[in-house]
Amino acid sequence: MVSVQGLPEKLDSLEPGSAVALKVDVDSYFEVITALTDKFPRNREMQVIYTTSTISSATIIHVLDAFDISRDNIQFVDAVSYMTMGASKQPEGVTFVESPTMLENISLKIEYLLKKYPADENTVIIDSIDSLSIHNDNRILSEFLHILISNLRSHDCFTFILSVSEQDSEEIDNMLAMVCDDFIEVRPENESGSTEVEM
Amino acid sequence: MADKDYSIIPDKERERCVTGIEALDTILNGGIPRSNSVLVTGSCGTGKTTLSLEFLVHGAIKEENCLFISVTEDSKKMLNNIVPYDFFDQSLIEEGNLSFIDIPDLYDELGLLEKSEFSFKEIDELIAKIEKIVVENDIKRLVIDSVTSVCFQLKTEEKIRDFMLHLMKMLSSHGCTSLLISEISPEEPRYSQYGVEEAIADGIIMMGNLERQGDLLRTLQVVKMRGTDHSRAKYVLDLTAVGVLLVPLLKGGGVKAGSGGGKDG
Repeated sequence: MVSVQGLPEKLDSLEPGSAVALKVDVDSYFEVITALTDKFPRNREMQVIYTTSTISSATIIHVLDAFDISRDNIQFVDAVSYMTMGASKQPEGVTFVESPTMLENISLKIEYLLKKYPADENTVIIDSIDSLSIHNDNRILSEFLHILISNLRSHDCFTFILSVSEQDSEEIDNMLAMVCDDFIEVRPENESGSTEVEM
Repeated sequence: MADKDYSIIPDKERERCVTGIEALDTILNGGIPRSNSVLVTGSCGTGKTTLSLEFLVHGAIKEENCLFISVTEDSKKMLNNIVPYDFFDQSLIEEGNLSFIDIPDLYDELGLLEKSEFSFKEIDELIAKIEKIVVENDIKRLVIDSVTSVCFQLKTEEKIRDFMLHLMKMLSSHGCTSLLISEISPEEPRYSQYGVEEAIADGIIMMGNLERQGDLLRTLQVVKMRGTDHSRAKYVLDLTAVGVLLVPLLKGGGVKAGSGGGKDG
């Protein structure tokens, strides 16, 4: 377990190609997003591909703008807005996937962005495994993660898979433990706790 | 009788025609064996023409002379389909590495334009005409879009077999790797309209639409490819500005036929 405050330091110690499960409580959610999209890539030639199936890219963009976080190196794969009829126009830096059930298309859009915008380093964020599990059977979901992470690892990408503590599921935890190198529980700043769980 | 060379070249040693579509080359263990004639088959909207155009553009970039013979659409219209590619450069056409021919122009030159059915002699003349173009321009990659439309004017199975056999033999003899597009209806249980083309071709790349729980996915599967080991798995594809991208079709622990898990179209 690491504190939100200690997360950037932990992220900096990761090797390229690492796949990390981040279990986050709702109160720390936006701070974790800030760490992944701003503090971690800062001062590096890094592209961030933010895949969202939880809340729309428009909402995340709004939050990043509110925190004054540059979006120059952030690309979004939005798998939720089409489904909610919220994708009437395609803003710059956003690629839509019709439905969170089209897992192959999520992989294809990530692959597309990696090719379209080559960068020295790449980070792929999957937000979140819980929302994907609402729409997909766990067997197909674990197959998706296994193939996606293997592919991203071959590109030396950092992969972060978010899960929300409040939606705790042993099956999801086991799935993440199987495909990820690290499993980090992020606790709010005012909570005490020990170090992260190494897989 | 002249001695024929029957020496067998191991698959791994056969020269490859690298398609430039990264995932497809991986599926084919390095590319299409040089001189193979491959049937690219599928129903409308599955990406056959786009895939074939990309194959030619990558060939032209490698300075191989490439030819697109358009049967169903005006070639100028075809150009609009390749311009959005990030890797396309107009100079490929200007310098002659990539060229387009509309088959009605060939029919016109051969006096076949008004014919509703070709004779064996006329089929030979058509193949000879294509051969002349291939030889004179040292064409190394060729696409015919579609052979189904050409075969429509041949009518009988015998003529279709004769045309396909002679065409493929001729192209192969000149070291030309070809993609022959075959159109089938979504319900077709076979790989070609007339059933003849699939038996003769060196390879079959099957493209389709897979419906899974209301989602429509474009798929690609290499059913057969002589001269190389290859994956026979089904892949999902996306047509993008950086070219055709492929990822494995997820099975979710195995989808039984007829279980409602997926339907090909």
